[in-house]
Parts: sequence; structure tokens; C-alpha cells
Amino acid sequence: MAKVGVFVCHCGVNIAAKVDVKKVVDTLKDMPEVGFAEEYKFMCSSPGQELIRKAIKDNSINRVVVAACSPRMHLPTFQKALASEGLNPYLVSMANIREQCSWVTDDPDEATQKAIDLVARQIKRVVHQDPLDDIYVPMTKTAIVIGGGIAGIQAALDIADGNRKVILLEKSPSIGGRMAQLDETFPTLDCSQCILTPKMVEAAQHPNIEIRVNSEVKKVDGYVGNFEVTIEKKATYVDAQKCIGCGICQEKCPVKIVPDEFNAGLNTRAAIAIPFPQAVPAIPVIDPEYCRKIKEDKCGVCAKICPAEAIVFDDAPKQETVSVGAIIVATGYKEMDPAVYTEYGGKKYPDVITGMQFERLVSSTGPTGGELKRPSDGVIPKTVVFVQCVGSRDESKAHAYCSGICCMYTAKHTMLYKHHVPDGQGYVSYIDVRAPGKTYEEFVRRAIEEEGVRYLRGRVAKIRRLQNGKYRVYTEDTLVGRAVHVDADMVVLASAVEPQKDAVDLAQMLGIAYDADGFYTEAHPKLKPIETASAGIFLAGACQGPKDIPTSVQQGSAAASKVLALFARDTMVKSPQIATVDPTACTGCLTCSYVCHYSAIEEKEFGKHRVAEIIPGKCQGCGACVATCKGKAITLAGFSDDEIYEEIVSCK
Amino acid sequence: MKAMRKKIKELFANGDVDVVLGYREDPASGEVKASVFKKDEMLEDMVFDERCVQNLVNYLPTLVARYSKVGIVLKGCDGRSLATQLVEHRINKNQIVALGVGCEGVKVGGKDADKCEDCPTSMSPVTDHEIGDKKQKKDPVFSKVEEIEKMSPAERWKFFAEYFERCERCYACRQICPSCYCEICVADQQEPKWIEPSAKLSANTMWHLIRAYHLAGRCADCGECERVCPQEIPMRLMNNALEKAVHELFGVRPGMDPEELPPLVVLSKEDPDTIMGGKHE
Repeated sequence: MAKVGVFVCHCGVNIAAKVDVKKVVDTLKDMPEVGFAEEYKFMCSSPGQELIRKAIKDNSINRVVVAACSPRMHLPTFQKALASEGLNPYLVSMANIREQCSWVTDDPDEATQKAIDLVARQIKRVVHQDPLDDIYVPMTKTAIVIGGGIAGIQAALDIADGNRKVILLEKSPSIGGRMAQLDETFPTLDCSQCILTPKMVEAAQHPNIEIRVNSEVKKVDGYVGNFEVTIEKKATYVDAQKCIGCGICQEKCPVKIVPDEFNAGLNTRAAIAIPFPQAVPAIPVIDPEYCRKIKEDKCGVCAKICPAEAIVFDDAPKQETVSVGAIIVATGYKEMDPAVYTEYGGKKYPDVITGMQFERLVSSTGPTGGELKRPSDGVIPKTVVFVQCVGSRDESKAHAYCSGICCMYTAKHTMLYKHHVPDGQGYVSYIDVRAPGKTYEEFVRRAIEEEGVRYLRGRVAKIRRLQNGKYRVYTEDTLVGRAVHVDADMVVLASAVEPQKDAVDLAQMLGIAYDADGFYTEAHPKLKPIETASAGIFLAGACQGPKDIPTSVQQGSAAASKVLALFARDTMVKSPQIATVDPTACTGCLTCSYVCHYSAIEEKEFGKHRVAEIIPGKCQGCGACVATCKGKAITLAGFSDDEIYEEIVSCK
Repeated sequence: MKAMRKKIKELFANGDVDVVLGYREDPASGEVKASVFKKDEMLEDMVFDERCVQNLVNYLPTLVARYSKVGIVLKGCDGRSLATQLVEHRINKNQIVALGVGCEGVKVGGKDADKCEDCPTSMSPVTDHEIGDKKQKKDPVFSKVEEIEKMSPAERWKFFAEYFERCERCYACRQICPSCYCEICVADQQEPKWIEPSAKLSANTMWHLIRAYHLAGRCADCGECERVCPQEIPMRLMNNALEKAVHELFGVRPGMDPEELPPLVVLSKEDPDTIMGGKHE
């Protein structure tokens, strides 16, 4: 015989200010199912939980209804209270009389009546709830980090140092990401390569890290603790085992017209190339779109000259499936193509470049060997205008969001510029300077006050190329309230931070959420900034939103700590609230298997029939199959027809 | 007709079929009914004309359980019906020899059948042998649904409530429908009792709504439910309203492709996402 204990929470004044909790208790305590009813200020507090425990002991109640907030918040709290008294934790149900009642109902009488109805419904329901036992599944203690930029490298290193195996996946030929392209970093002006390269090498040499470059995720199956990730390694036409990285192939390759991605397209490289001198691994890759041997079966110089016989022209993509327990997504960002800004030349002007291109122009490994010369004619620019917020904070043309890093890297650019061209004059066109990081504001002040960079507050209206080869930048100075123009030798556009082109595809493969801009969405903006809504999948770096290096590194470490915490367990506790098929009612239409997001439904023989079967380890209890089964052959534990039906028919 | 008989004779002679499901004119009454032809001798009674209204697909599950090879004469609409059954693994295609016959339209009660108005194809989308012309038609117009859509919700409710009131819950519509094949129909379930068995407006409404929604994206509009309803409830109107919605959203009409899953059970990135504000670019 079910005997229900009802506990109504005041939630301070959150509920009690609107709902007459006393009346709720008095009304419901006479229901035949109810054996005990009480109200309390905070049910989630220790004394609140003690009330439940005491009622289980003293009043021998065997079902519990807590009327409080959303079960998302405190259901586990109350389940623990039941378990501590030896009662099955699935014999508790919550009525949400806060979010669904007191917060949204104006009239106190109506709110009280609504609360009574909501709680009564759960009392009717809880009687039909069955005890359920947790499911334990083994944990695969290997992680995969998708993206080998600084966030991914940091995450991989931390997991590896925690003595767990980790696969570091990178789609380009080398790890390093955007940070490898940078010259110096704010706010300390230390050399980006000098601080990054040791980490790249450490990752490469770590016994627990397996780096897989030129590789992309093609498919993700499974669930936390037991993911199956299908990886495709692209054809690189170079045998990484044999290659010694001498680089003679890229010297001798006659096809030197491939746009150099590492140098942001400022120069061209050979059709076979190591992406940059410090690449890890330092193995070249052939670009089949340009290679004459692959395209026309001519040339083949690299194969002839390679001392290690490492060139394989008949290479093909290879797929492999790996088992991992956790996934960190660290796919980073790309710089927006400023072509939509036709008023800034829309990429027509050779000396109107992006921030990343400027970075390469001043880098000693860049196309000019570190000498700052403008792309069109190699002249040293004596006047440079840096334009901020190109694509950021500009909903009409591109993005509403702030790219976060441009104020800082522009201040850095102005300083680098001054160090390269001491008699040059830098101008910055800005809307506001946003420098909230540690010592960031001081850094910007240094650019303005010590380096003499002129900051003009206003958005650039137009850039026009003059006869004399200069660029006239029309802008305004809103602080003095007048239109101004600057004749510059070069213009640098702080182009917006954007998600990777294929960010949405990957999100859909992983089953994680993304926002309207295509950045991945965390499980909670404040309290779960690393987690995604999918258990076992974590975020690190700029794939979640624009981030600078320190924040990306922090998030990489944070994601790693989440993974290590997960891997501290040998088994995963899985909710027993999963679906099962009644084979005698199943018609074998398999519609359920099409709607299952988790590939958890397979077909099996049942007598002469073919029926659907649900794999308990894979089922996540989403209920999609239950809803789609017209014959009602599928039941979701904890959400049986009886429970739902009682809830519905008790509505008045 | 001649060609059809010849083809069926051939199938029997080659042992390609054990039985053929077709239409037979009763020599005594002159009525046309669904019949199982066991050998080719009876074929002189086989007919195919505007009187062949019945959807023969409904008889297939019983026949394939008894015979290993079943031939079936198919109109365009019945062929769509068969396609939906194949997609749902109701029938194994290997056991079927599909004889598509070019349909010129059928008559119910001496008038052109309503379902022929929006018929997309005269020929079955599933065929092993085709006899007669294949005529494809333009996009459906769903003229009756549009009339209903013009009504206010109150008018619409009044319109349907009058019909639902009459329903005597004989379940003829369910029995005749090839897509209504649950082992235990929701209307027959006792624990819990989702639909009250007694014939009254609230329970009848529940039945008709569940029936129609269970067919959303699956109903191939053979129109049998409406034809057999003793109370003349406009069953097709509900089916068509859902068919129209599916057609507008996904550009799909059920049963036109035996390989294609019903749009409501597949998740595609190309799907329109009008609720969440459209597809992300």
C-alpha cells in the first residue's frame, strides 16, 4: 500500500510570498494516498531533508512528493535523502510550484489553487512509480581532443599528465593552431612561437598523447564513457613513418603557386610543403589540387629526390573508429573574410590587410622575414591605420557580438609597428577600448602614452585608394565631434572572430548545441561553462566564443580536469530511466530506430517476427521512440503510461 | 484487360506467383469485389475498371503469411499504399509481384471518387510489371482542406463535432486501413484506458484525432476509411489536412517512393525549422 509523504517548500519567499503553503498542506493531507504532509522554509537544506528522513522512519511513508523548484535543480538532492533511509530513490516525484507557479502566476489565490493541483497530480503519479535500479556501464579511460590549437594542446597535456591516454586530433598538417601564426602576444609581448613550441614538442613526445594530424571527425556514436568516434585521415601522399622532415622536397618542387595558409595567403608555397618551420610533426603534405604528378602524371621530382622514399602518390583517405570515454571540442575560430566590407575595398586593395596578415608581415618566419613592408610594392609604411570592429558589433553587416581580442591585439600591433618602423605613425579607429584582463588596460595605455599611437574614436566610413598609392581613410573623431581623414600607406582591419566553417556540422555529429552565430553552447552560461548539454563532451577555447590565449588555456585545463574527474571512476552510473520494447506488441516497423539519436535500437528475431530491441547501455532515456511508437510497444521506465495517465486524469 | 490477363497467365505458367490478388466481377450479382485468384482458369471473371475501388493492399499481410509469392493488381493509389507498407517492413517485397495497371479513375456511388482529384499518379510507384499508361499529375490542390482552413477555429470545431457526434465506434475505418496495424490498438487498451470505448463526443473526438495523427506522413490517401464509414464521417479530410501539411513542409507525398522513409521519422539538416527561426546558415 502506497503511503505518500508530501513536503511543500517555501523557498524563502520565492514560493511562500505567492502560494499559501499552509493551505496546500491542509488541503492535500486528507487525500487517501497521503500519509504525511508538512511545509518547510527550505526543503533542500539539511533540516529540510531531515524532515523527509524522519517521516520515512516515523510515519513509515514509502513514496515522497516534494513541492518546490524544478527537478532539474534538486531532484538528486531528494533522491539521496530517500536512499539514505533505504527507500528506492526513484520513488520520489517533484511538483514544480516555483518556476511553473509562484513566479508566473499573479493572483495569490490562483497560485495557491494551481499549486494544490500540481502537487495532487504528483501524488497520483508517484503511487504508480516503480523502484528502479541504477545501471552500471564500464568506462573507456581514453579521451579525444578535437583541435590541436593551444586550448586543445593544454587539455591534452593535462589529461596525459593525469596518466590517461589522449588522442589529439588536428585537421591541418600540424598542431599549433592560430597561436603558431602569431608574432608576439599581449600584454607581455613575448614571442608566441617561443612559448608555444615547447608545448607542441611536449605534446608530441608525451607517452600518453597520440597526435593525429590531417584528420577529421566523421561520425560520433555512443555516450559518455563509451563513445565511438570515426576519424578520417586525409590522403597526404607522404609516409609519415619514413619521412625524416629534411624539407628537400619542398625546395625542389617546381609548383610554387599554392597560397600559403600559414602566412594568411600573403605569399605562395610549393605543392609539397611542411606548413611552417616549427611544425609538429614536421612532415610535409602534398596538395593534390596543385601537384602535377597527381593531376597530370608529370613531374614526380619529390619522389625522385626524397632520400627516405617517403612519397606515396597513390595515398587515399583512411577511416578508423576509436573508442573514447570523453570528448573535448577545441576547434577554435577563423578570422572573418572582410570582403563584405566593400567600403573598405572588399579585399581589392592590396595594402588593406587583416589583423592576421599583419601578424605574419611582422613575424620573422613570415613572407618578408620579419621586415614590415607593405604587400603591394614592398615600401615601408610610414602611416598605418588600424580599424577596429570590422565585422564585430556591427549587426547590419556581420555580427552583433564583440570579438573580444581585437582591442588588445590592435594595441599590440601598434607597438609592434612602432618597433619595426620607429618614425612611423599609427592610428587606431575604435568604438570603445575593451581591455578588462589583467594588466590589459595598462598595456593599451602604454600604446597610447608611450608609443604615441593616436586613437580616434569613431567608425571608419570609407577607404579610398589615391593616385599616389596612399589610402585615404575617412573616419570621424567623435570626441571632438568632427569628420577626419588620414592618408595611410597601409590599413589593418581587425576582422571579426568567427566559428570554423564546419562548426555546425561537427556540432550535429556530436549532438551538442550551438548558438545563432555558430559558436558552441555551454550547458549553463555561469555554472557549467565547460560542459555541453551532452554528458562527456566538453568545450575548450574559441569554438565556444571569442577568447584570448590565457582564457583558452584556462578552459583547456578546466576541460581536462572534468575529463580526469570522469575517468577517476571505473564504471559510469547510468540512469535506469531507459526505454524497453515489449516484443509481443512490436510490429517491427522500426520507426523507433529512425528517430533514435543514439543508435540504441536494433532489430532482432522474435519467434517468426522481426522486432525492435533497445540496447540498455546506449539508451539515454530521451523518449523519442516512445512517442513515435503508435502501438505503444515501448515503455520508458519512470515515464510509464500509468504514471502519465494518472497525472493527466487528475487534472480538473 | 487482355494484356493483364495474358501477363497473369504467364506468371502462373512460370510459377512466379502462387496466387494473384485482383478484382472479380460476380457473374450472378454483377458486383466487383476483391478476390484471390488461385490459378489462371478463373481469369475470365477478372476485371479492371472504374468499379475497382477497393484497396487490395489490406489483404496482403494475410496472404503473404500463407503463400510464398503473391501477385497483386495495383491502381496508382494502392501502389502508394503498398510503398508505405514496404517502408514500414510490413511486407517483404520479395514475396510480392506487383502488377501496376494504368488507372483511369474510379467511381463511388456512381460519381468520380473524391480521392481521384488529387491523385498524383495513375501508375503504382512499386511495379514489377506495368500495364497501361503512366500519367503523373501536378501538385495536389487539397481544395476541401482549404475550405476547412478558411473557417474560424469555432466553426471548424462545430463542423467536425457534428460528424464526431455520429461516430458509432465500429472501427470499420481502422479495419480497412492498411496502415492501422498495431498489435493492440490504442483504442482497445485497458490499462490505462486512453480512449473511452463508449460512443460519445469526447471519446469519439479522441479516437478520430489519434487515428488521424497516427497516419500523419504515412497515409497514402486510398480513401477506404471514408468509403466504408457507415456514418459518412469525412475521414479523408483529416488525413488530407495532415498530408497537405507534410507536403508543404517537406515536399513529400507518402508512398511515392518505396525507398523513402516517412518525413516525420527522419532528422535531416535540410528540414525547414520554422519553429526555431529557420536553418542556421
